[in-house]
Amino acid sequence: MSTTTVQLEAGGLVAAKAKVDENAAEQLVARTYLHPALGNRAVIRLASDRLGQAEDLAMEFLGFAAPKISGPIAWQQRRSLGFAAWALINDPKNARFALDMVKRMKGAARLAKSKPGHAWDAYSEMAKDLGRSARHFLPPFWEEAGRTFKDIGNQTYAGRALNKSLEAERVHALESDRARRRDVVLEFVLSGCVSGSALSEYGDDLQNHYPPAEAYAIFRDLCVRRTRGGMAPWATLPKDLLKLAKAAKRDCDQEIESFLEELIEAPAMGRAPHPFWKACSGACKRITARSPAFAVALLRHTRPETRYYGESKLGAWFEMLEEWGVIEYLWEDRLRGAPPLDEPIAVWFGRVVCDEVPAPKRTLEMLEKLAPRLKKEKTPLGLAIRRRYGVSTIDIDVLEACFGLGVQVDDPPAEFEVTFAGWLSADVDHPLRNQDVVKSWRDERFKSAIYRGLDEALTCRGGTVQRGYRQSNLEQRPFALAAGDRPGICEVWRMHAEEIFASLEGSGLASFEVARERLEATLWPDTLRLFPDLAERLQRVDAAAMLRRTLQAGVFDEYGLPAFEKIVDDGKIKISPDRYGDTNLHLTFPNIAVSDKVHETVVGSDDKVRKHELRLPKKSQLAALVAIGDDLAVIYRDDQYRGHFFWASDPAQQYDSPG
Amino acid sequence: MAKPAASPRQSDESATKDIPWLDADKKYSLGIEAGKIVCRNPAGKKLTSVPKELKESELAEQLSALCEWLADHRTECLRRVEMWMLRSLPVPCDVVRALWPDPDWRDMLRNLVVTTADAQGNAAQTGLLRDVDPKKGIGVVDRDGETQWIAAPQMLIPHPILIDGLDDLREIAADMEFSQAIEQIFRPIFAASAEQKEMSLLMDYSNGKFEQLNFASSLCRRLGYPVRGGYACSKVWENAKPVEARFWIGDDFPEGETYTGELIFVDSDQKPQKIADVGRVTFSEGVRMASQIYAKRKVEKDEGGEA
Repeated sequence: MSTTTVQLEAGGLVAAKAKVDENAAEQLVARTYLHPALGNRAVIRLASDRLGQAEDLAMEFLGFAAPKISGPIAWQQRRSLGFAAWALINDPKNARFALDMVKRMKGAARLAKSKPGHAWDAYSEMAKDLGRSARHFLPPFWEEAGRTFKDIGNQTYAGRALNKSLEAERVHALESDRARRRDVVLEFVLSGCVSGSALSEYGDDLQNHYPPAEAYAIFRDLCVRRTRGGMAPWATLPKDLLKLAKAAKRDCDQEIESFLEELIEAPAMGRAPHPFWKACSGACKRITARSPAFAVALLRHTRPETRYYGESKLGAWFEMLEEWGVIEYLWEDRLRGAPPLDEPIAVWFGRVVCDEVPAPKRTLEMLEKLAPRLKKEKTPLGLAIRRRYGVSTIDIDVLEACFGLGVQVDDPPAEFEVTFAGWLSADVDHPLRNQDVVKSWRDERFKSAIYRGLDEALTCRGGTVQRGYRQSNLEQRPFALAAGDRPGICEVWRMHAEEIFASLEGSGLASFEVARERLEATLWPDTLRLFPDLAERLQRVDAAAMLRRTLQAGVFDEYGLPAFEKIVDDGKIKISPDRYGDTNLHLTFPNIAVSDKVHETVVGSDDKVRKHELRLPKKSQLAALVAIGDDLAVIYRDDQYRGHFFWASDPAQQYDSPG
Repeated sequence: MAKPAASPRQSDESATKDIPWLDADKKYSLGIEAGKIVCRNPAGKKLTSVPKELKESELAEQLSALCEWLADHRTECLRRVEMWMLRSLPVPCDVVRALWPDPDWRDMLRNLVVTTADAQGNAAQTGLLRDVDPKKGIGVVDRDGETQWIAAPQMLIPHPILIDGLDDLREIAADMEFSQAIEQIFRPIFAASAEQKEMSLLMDYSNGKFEQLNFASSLCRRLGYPVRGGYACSKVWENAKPVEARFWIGDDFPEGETYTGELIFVDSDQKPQKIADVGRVTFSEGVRMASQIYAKRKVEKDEGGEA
């Protein structure tokens, strides 16, 4: 390609003298317009020479006078034509009907943003008129209307207008400019204005208007470019495509395979819906058998979506990968000359692990098989990723398995939990499920989270638990049954029980109550059977001694400050404690300051009471009272919400205070 | 942000005489000042607001359409000139000369760093574009602060990441108080680190929350980035090849909340490119796009201020 062609294609301008392909380029002129309201301020438009008349009409609508036109100043790439321009070029004899519309269309376009419904009505009205005078202008007319909606981001009306345009062609059996039509549909498709079902219909349209081979070529090109443009293929795409391929007497298997291979690298393929893959299943299997690169591309597209409810979609996806023979490319990097995955397997697998907790059997199987590769690549595996909301959770079996298999585990995020939900599951479907917990809790990073998880797990008496909204339930075994008497879990279990006992033995009434409730929820007959010494210790817990300790330390109601209570009673002060600052009780240890509208009173720890008159400027609000030594700082905000303070001993001296 | 600032039109605001008044009903007059409709009463006094009756007249309708159109025109000029810069497209000097009388075009072009190029597009001289004269050619202030008139067939508007000695030019521009309508010499530029070069997608701007996808997509529209298939796109031509930066903003329901995702670079076959293979301008512009969008995300805990 010559420099000139590249420049033109990139949207650039080429000197008017340069040699260019005149079919692909058009000459530009500068049109200088003046407006009575703008005085001698010139407005200059760079416009294509052949379409000048349309530009002038649009300007006339705004009140501009006829322009001064320069000679050609440059070449530019030909652009798709607007409605009026299209009419001028294609049917100059009838162009006046189109030009008549220009002003009205400008008016409707102005409405489109704020009142799309009204604009639509206006367009419909115009379409009626056009239908009478020059109905072959209808398709480009609706196109233009659609473009107006598209440009302001109203995809619904844009799509509707495009449909009208296609429909006009169909209904009036108009001869259409095919190449142009194709570009226009693509333009709308790429802006996301055309739904999958509308595209299916467009496929039927093509079949009616074109010879089969051409219809197929157009449709295939559209699908390819759409996907490359970043739109995920729709569910029935394979069906729609093959229908046309069949009519064109092509080998369907071969066609779908070439389609997939051509597009598999496109990012949009990663978001193709499940039914799409299901329909392509046979083809995927055949391609994978001969192309390792295709298999790796499918692995790259394995990206769990964030979801707020429902089952993970990965299960069905992995089933398909398994069937196609893609999975084996996971265990070994660059198997059979496949390209690399482009990211450490730990990062890839981390996403899979985090997508479903408690871990399904699949995760455990994959972990086992991936362990050698994970160890070889040495990137630590992230088991919990920072999530948008909620807390990320690690399955204890996955964690323990990583330690057992020698797979490095990445540092968890600041907040995370460890769950035993899968560990407790009644269906022990994998050797890594319900392991003895030996190594993981010795890692300081996970210790306290495992502790909390265990506390929860100990309350499990078996039965059905809900996993989440729109997810199947999970059958669990009672904790003691799941734990058995394996040494690792027993050790943590014992530590957990000991901690509660220690709390029972050494606390006062309130904490005793809490500990007792904890014990009630987590104590198993097996606890006492497995740890006989603890059973003995439990028997020795002396409730009477605890009560004595509590009473000796004093009961809450006995605490009080008589002087404070007296002034509250005497002054009939209403205490309004409030966490958000709107309070009349200000605590500065060991003093208490309390205010009503008239006075502020400070009660010292020695029962000394000092009373001051509260003198604030008008419309001010008391922010805080801080008793310091024998004095009191009064902090307030004025009506401008600026902070001030003064000492109660010297109210005349005012200071500014921040906030 | 590449948003056109209102052009400084009439310098003296009180000079009502400078406004070309158009006759409206009841001997009132209407005019346009600084992109807004203004009104003058029969006594010749400029009113603070346009009376309702006049506001609904046909003339006022036309003038307000004109105001909107002028704003669009200015944006169009901006986008066009910006495109010349982003795609390193040489501009025939004939075109610059023809456009110069329009204040909007002039505002966009003035003070840009330009390099004049010969017919083959090889750069010759660099300077800040100050004036265009039909006879003398293109007037620039060069690195030494000297004014030069250059007669060349075409000029280039280089992207800042391609300008050597950018600091000198910044200094000159600051000293002489030259301001640019299109961010060029003070445009934020980004260069890929060695670590980033090994990657094919950047996650630095991911997880930015928008309460509605609508908010994100209209932001993209304001910033001039088309949105396709859930990605905000910025297309750059570099080394004669188009490469597009794509930043995920989501493609769910327009009213639903959305989170930003990865930034990728795709060639014309839509194959994601390794960042090492992406041109400097493309990378810089891609990151600029992502950072601009990400900057407007909803921040949960806003300390004071707007909230």
